[in-house]
Amino acid sequence: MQNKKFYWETRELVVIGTFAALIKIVSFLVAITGGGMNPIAMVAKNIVATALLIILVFNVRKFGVLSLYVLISGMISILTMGRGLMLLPGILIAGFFCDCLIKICGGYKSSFAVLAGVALFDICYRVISLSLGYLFMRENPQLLYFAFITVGIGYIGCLIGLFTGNIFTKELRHAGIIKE
Amino acid sequence: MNNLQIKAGDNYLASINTLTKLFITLFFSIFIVFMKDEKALIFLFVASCLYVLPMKKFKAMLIGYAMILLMFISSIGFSYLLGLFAKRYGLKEDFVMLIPFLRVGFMINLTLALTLSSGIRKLINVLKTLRFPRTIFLPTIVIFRFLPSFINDVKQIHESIKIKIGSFNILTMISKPRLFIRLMIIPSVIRALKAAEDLSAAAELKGISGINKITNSNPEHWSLKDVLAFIILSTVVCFAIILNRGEI
Repeated sequence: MQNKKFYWETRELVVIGTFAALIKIVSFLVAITGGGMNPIAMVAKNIVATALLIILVFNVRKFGVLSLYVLISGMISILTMGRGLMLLPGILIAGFFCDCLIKICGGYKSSFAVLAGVALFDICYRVISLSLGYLFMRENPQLLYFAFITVGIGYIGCLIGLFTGNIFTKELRHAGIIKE
Repeated sequence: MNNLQIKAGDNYLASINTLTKLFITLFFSIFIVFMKDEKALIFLFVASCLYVLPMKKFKAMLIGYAMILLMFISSIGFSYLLGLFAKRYGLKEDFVMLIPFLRVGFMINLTLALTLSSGIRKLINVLKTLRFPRTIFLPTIVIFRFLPSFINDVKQIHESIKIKIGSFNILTMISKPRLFIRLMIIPSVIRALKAAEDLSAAAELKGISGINKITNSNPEHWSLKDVLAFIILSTVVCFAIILNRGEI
């Protein structure tokens, strides 16, 4: 019997699932350790989440990795809180555009392309989340100003996370944990 | 984990098909967004309490409600502070905090009912047989399988940090970021990558890599209780819409 050849290998799908869970748990743990919603914990949480996302993209170097990660992560959010269902279509499109950007900018082997793609994805994710936040908190539209500041602080963490993730990946490559 | 499992027959929720419960949760996760009347949301919240109450998982429910209450109290505090700013910048200062929290409380009840009454194994079985493409069901199954073992890993990492540097808090995170990365983040990443290798090998060996067609070894059958659940669902939805329109 000949095995059917799939675009996504089993190992890659498992890595995406594992990292989707890892990003959720580690971000939560950092937020808890940091004492909840304060600027330092928010920056730290975003550094870790973005760094892990960079490692994931470098580990599974295939077109569509961001879109698939978004889909899986969104499905888990739907099953746990329900909120992700409204967020999912928007961020799925954002993920696809960022995948295209990575492909256009030099592919998944180029560090610059991956960093640019993930940076854009983080912006899109936050813009879409804020829009949905407005929908949920539409009784208090004035809260959006403060949410905007909070999200802005969090994005500083994402920018630091991009470079931290790049350094992590280099170290993991040296250790032979991530293959070239 | 044993106290989270309920044997079928213990209550009506455990005997309802997992697919029915999954559908109810997904449906209400969209429906609740469009509800904005306080009366309608209170009605839905009470209905969800009645839905989850027969499970007798009072501890889990109390933890969930305590978290909501904590968020509610902190948001009242923050809304007071924001009110001071809002006054200064001429913005509206009366914050409506009850409605968003009723929405969250309602969703917590539904999620508790789904996860605690079905358990991980049933959810995985349903996901396996829903005919999702392998690109979706394989990573989703992995998440459910990975979570319990990763929680154990995190406990071990936490213990090793305690042995090496004592207590670990936000001050350590700020003052020694390199140590924080070396002791907490890197072990987690390496452990996750190793777990991914093990899980992918296990998936291929167990034949759930998407190459072979999967059949549910322990299928759940549809019963009169599922029909009854859909009838109650429709009634609740109709009544909530009427309340939301302000017709009562």
